[in-house]
Amino acid sequence: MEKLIIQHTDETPSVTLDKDNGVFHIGENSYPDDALRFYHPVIEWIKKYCQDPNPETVFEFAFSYFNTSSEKIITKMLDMLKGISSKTALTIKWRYESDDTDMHKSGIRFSQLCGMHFEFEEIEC
Amino acid sequence: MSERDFILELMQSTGNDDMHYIYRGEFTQSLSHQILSLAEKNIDRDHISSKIKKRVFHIMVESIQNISRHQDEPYKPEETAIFGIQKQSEHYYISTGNIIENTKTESLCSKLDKINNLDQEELDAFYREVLSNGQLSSKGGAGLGLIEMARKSGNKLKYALEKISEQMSYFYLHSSINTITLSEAPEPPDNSVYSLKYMTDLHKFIIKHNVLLIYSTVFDQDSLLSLIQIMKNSGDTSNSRKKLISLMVEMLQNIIHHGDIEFDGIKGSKGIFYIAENNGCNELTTINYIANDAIEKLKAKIDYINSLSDEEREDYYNERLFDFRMITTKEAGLGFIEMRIKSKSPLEYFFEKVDGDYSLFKFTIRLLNN
Repeated sequence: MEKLIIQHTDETPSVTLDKDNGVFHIGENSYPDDALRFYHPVIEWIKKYCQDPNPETVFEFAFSYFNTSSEKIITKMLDMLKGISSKTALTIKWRYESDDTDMHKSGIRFSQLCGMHFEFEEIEC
Repeated sequence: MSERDFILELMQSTGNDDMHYIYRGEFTQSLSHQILSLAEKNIDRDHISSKIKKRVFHIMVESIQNISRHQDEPYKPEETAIFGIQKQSEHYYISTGNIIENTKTESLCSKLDKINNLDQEELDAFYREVLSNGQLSSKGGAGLGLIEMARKSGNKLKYALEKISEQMSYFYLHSSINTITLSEAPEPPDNSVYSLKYMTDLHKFIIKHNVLLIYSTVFDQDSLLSLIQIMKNSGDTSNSRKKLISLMVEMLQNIIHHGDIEFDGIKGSKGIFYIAENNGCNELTTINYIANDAIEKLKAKIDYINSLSDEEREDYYNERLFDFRMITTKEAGLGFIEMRIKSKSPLEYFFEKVDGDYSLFKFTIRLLNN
């Protein structure tokens, strides 16, 4: 499966989705004007991956900022990943800057809402 | 001028690609840098020659250095320095304000009057003369900055003084730059928002509401990104700063998505954004146009969100977060709820009728400093 790599900009996150090397990472800033358009290839990639996932999947989110329209799409991604938790040993890693209590809280919210266990990790800043 | 007229005037005279940015506070090295980078970004978006860009930049640097040279701390609110950059089609207007001891005003004014009486050639000669005389004051200036500003702008330096006490006055300096040719820009009429007079009025508004920053333009994603950059670089990386930025993003993207209307002959998301500090709270305010027939719905939405208990609000939020039917538009339907949850205080709004079709929508979020 072809990997999807997107370099970050001021407003959009860096994305690394690499099935062969088992790297699944989205991070930094996400407040695009049109989140749906930006995340379209990401959602499509995950959809495809879900059809034939690796035995183990460690999916890492490491945001500094996101807007509400991005948040909605993150929920969608988590929902998709949850659907394959019987097919792959799934770990969601939620990384946040150590002083960013709001980002930590967002992670807890997602984890509760999706009924998924998250591994939380502070990033020193 | 009433506050309504004052704000309306600012809104009405902002055209496409125009902008007003005013900062009030302490002028540190890093802050000056960040203001310059905002302006630089804005100037870069313009199709003006690099020669003129350098001129605009140069005048900004001189103005800011003028302020930081003359600022002593700590200041009362009405004594704090301001810096403003405004753009209207092919002109930039740069304004500064700072306090000055009354004993120094006379020599400053006569220096300015002298500079304003010289033509370009005479200015060059005067510049060389002052440079070789080298009467550098302890603050590092010899009036060279002012001469430079006059040389680079190609325009007279307008100024005004307002006495604030027996010891001190507030000094305003205003320069304009034509970005097409280096020639004298027509003076903005006294009632224009680009005039020195308007800047002094704006300063009164700024003091009254303890405003720290105003940014007014036809908002788009790029202007939002420049503002975020400013906020991020403002030294303080605390959690409340992050919160402030997240809230600002939601507020301005709301304007970008919903405030895009045609009015005053301009099509776009015209708005004013400002940050103030009152009673230990940061206040973020946006002002934009809204169609009169959209008011009721918006009002009902905000009132509803304000009326919910914390728990109900969380539920409402989660419900909408998982409603993927709403994923088809740019709007997530979450903005106002998020703002209410993050700020932990009621959302405040005010509608002011402009004409039969449109009103001004003023929206404020209060965020307790921690």
